Amino acid sequence: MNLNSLTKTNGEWLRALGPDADIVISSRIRLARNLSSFPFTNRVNAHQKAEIETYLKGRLEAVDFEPRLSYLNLAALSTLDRLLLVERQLISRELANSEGPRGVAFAPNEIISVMVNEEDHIRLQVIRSGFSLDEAWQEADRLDDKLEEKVPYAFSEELGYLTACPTNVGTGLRASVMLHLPALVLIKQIEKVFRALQKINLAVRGLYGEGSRASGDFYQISNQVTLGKSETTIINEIRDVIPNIVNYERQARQALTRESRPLVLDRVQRAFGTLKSAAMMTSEETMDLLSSVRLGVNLGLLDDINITEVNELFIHTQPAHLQKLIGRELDSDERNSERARFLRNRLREIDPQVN
Amino acid sequence: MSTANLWDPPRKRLGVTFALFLTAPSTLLEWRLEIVLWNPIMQKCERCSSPATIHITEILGEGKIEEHHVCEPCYKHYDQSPGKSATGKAASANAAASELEEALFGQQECPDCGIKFVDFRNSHRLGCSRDYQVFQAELTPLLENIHGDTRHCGKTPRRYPQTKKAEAELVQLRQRLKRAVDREDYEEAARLRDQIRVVEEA
Repeated sequence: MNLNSLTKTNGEWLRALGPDADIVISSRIRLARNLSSFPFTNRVNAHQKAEIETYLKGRLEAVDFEPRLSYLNLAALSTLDRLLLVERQLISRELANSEGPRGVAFAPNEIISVMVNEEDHIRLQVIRSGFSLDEAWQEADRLDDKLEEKVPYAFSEELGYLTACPTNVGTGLRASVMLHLPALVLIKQIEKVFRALQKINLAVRGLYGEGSRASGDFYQISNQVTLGKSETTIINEIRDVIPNIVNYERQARQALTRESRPLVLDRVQRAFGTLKSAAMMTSEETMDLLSSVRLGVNLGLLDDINITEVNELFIHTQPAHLQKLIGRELDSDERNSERARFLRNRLREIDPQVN
Repeated sequence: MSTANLWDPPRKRLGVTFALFLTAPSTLLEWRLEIVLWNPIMQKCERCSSPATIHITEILGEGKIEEHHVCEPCYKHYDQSPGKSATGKAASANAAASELEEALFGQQECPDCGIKFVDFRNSHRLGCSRDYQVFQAELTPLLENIHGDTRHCGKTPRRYPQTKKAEAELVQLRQRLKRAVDREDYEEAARLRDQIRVVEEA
């Protein structure tokens, strides 16, 4: 598989389609599963780890499922290629940075990916653009059934699917929705939303999951409870709360345009101006500026660029994507200047009147 | 950003604080020994109706003992109540605490993967699926804490009943295989490998 071809598209999670796609970036379902006859990943020796990988690779390639999954041996990839897969949300940072035999099977459309030898032997994930938790769950459930025909899972009647960490035991399900909430951040109401969500046992995380910063005003809302509730209940609880947050964000956006239009316009245009003219640009700053631009486009304050193009810039300016697009490995200073150059050129292509 | 950290409360509750309190009544100095233990048996807090997660045995001297069962918020009050000084408590106790932990917990070992409960507490990861049975007493309150429940009510693998027997057999076979490889008995290992394949394909 040629990973370079991946950089030409946005990947499913930034496709910007689907219901409420201006605020709801993507919906994700993750299932944690383990093989019943092996210790968990952290207790297997190198030999067993290789055995698990070979076994699961065979089962994943043979599984009776459309679209077909192709398996990628992560140990054989460069650090840069693994990071590219992280940025595309096909694998976790943890799996990318771990060692030994491990891999990922994924469909060409990048909607489905199955990680092998992560914290659990199997981490099955479905990502859909926009607000589509139900569709994502149906797809994940279908693949899980098919896989289960071939693979004996660690399961107990009492505790459900057994996982390496008791925070995942039961359904092994993490349902999450990625939201872009720049207006709530601007009017400083975001903490309030978090507190409300935590009260109902939902977790809020940054862009790349656990422990990551909410760069670009992207937030992931997900369930914490995996035991004692059915999959549908867990999904419904999240699905029911998302429209409220979407409404909050919409109200915040309206309030901003109504009461502080010049300020918002200034912020949006400064962001766009900086992106078009800076000579050094970190990935964090890029995310923050693109977030303002994205808000501007959605508010109709900026029509020099469309949402798909903004989303594309989000992913293409990530470190691994940038290096792939430039065609060589870069140190951090080089990255910042190449990123700035890339943004200037790309924005000139998108809007030829610039400069 | 604000991320709910699931581990914080259980870690605090799981920790054993071992502290010596020095109280000074008018005439003589009296050493008091306080051991705060995490106890897997669910009990109600003696000050409010929440589940008690902290169990305190106070040794008052001359064989006199006082027991208290409280929840975490109430413990904070308990801790500040007259006669109790919080200063230096944690610092002086840390080293002793870990030794005590070792002695009190973590003796039992999982026969399959070999971890003790203390290993789980350090890594937050279990070693194999059998640990859920082996450490059931310790895990139940933890699950209660994280999920508010201890029983699965979601999806069940369709071929679950059929696979159960095969599973047990595979675990056995794989252990024997590992031992065979360890003692470099490759003839036996090859035989076991074939046997595993047969069970897997069935």
